Amino acid sequence: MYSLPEIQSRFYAAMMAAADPAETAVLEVMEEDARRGQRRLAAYRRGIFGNLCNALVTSYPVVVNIVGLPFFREAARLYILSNPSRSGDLNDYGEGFAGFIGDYPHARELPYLADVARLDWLVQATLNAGERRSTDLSVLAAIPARRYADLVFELDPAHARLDSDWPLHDIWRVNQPAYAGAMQVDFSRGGRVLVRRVHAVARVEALGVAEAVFLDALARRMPLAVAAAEALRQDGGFEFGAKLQDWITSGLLCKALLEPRAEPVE
Amino acid sequence: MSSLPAQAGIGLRAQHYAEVLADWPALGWLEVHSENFFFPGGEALRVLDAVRQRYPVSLHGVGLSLGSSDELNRGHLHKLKALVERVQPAAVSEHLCWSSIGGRYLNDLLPLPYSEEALAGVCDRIRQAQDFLGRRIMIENVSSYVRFKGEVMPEWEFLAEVARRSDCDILLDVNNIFVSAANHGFAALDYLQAIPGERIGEIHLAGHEVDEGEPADEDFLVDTHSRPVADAVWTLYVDALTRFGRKPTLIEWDNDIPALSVLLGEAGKAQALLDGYRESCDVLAA
Repeated sequence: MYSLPEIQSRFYAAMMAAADPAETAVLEVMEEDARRGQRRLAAYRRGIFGNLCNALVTSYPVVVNIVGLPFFREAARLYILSNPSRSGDLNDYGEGFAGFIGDYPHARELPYLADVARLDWLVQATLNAGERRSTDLSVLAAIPARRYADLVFELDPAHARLDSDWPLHDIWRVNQPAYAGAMQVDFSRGGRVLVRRVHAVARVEALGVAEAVFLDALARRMPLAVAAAEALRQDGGFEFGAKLQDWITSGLLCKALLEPRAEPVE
Repeated sequence: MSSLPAQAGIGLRAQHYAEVLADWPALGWLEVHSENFFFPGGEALRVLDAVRQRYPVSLHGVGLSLGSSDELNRGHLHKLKALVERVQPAAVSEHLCWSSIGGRYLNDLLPLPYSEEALAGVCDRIRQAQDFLGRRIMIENVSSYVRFKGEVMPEWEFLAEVARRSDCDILLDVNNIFVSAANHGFAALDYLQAIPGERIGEIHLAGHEVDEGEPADEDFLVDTHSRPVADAVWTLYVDALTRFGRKPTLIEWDNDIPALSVLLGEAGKAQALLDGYRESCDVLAA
């Protein structure tokens, strides 16, 4: 009798290597003869690769839409062979797929694909992110306007940011299932996107340079005055007050507070 | 024992969330895959919170890998416990199988060798899981396509012994018994006769497919959850009801998922058999 770790290691190797030595090694510990054993191992292999591939298809819908399912499945097969799953939860599988597809020789003509994959992954993560613990903007009404400079904000956890050399927002938009317009995208310019969950749906918004700098600074819990100054350095005409109002109204900024260190010495 | 009603239910999948929330179909209970609700937030959890107000819910895990020679994955167990505390399910179940080795996962329900070593290991991990969760769980028999050399007992003995040693309940998958019986040449009724009925908290029914191979090859059955329950599996289900009495019964469908009405039709068939069994018992009792 072979030990349990020995059987499981051989079985794992036969599934993932698919090459002859590994298959022979697991056939040695099985009751089935070679032909019967090979067919039954193939059934397991189909199930395993099918499950992992489906997990990637679910996580990378825009990549699938761009390259088509047959191309995606072949890329997924190679990814699975070199990137073992590390979790019993299939929803965790595939975080490194963007890096893989960026280096994938057959996708060389689609240099934006890796960033599209990053966006796909962030969209899924945003959809499944934690809920806002609370919304508390009472401090805004409780302090005089001169103290606004010291305000810091908490952001809704269901958001993500991504910058790219490619026009991600347009690529994402024209690859949505309901999109029926022209498929033309101006690839000459990059872009910054904000992903948010709004009523259980992922919304991908394009951000201007100053907007992105402003939001990133607020996300780092910089005081409002510092965040606004950073944004104004990018664009002297940036209306940070209107943007702030917009993000508060839409719930992206869900909590405002005065940091203790900002308390004035009276 | 689980507190699921002895009625028919279905496995709730994302494709049917909207329809179930709109129509609240008449079902005894619903089952979901635990791992699909491990997220900190989002739509799936919102659906589950709503569903549990209307139906008893069973959390059915596919990723704990209780039969692995690896240590139990504590991170996975923590997520399961948090979900159990949130959902307060009527039942919690996992599989008599392994899916990982050396920290790497195949994310499939893989067969154990029926050895003393595997038995001791899986019982130990089931006890650990039950202790951690603070409740008894049900363990489901999986279908298998291969057997290992040097096994010391048949699967039914292994399963009964797992339940006895680890004090867990049994989720009896009748389709899996049928598939494994066909693949390994044993009699499904021998299997049923060896299982302690008082331990069975739930029955699963699902569809399978035939792998025909080349003309010279023997057919074997693959547990695909992609078809209606086969006629021969319905027959075996009636044998199980006759032997064990009414049990909560679930229709599972995971690939090529059809319209909700198809699942409800299958559940209706199971419910009719459950009801018919009660009537025949009533007649006998009279």
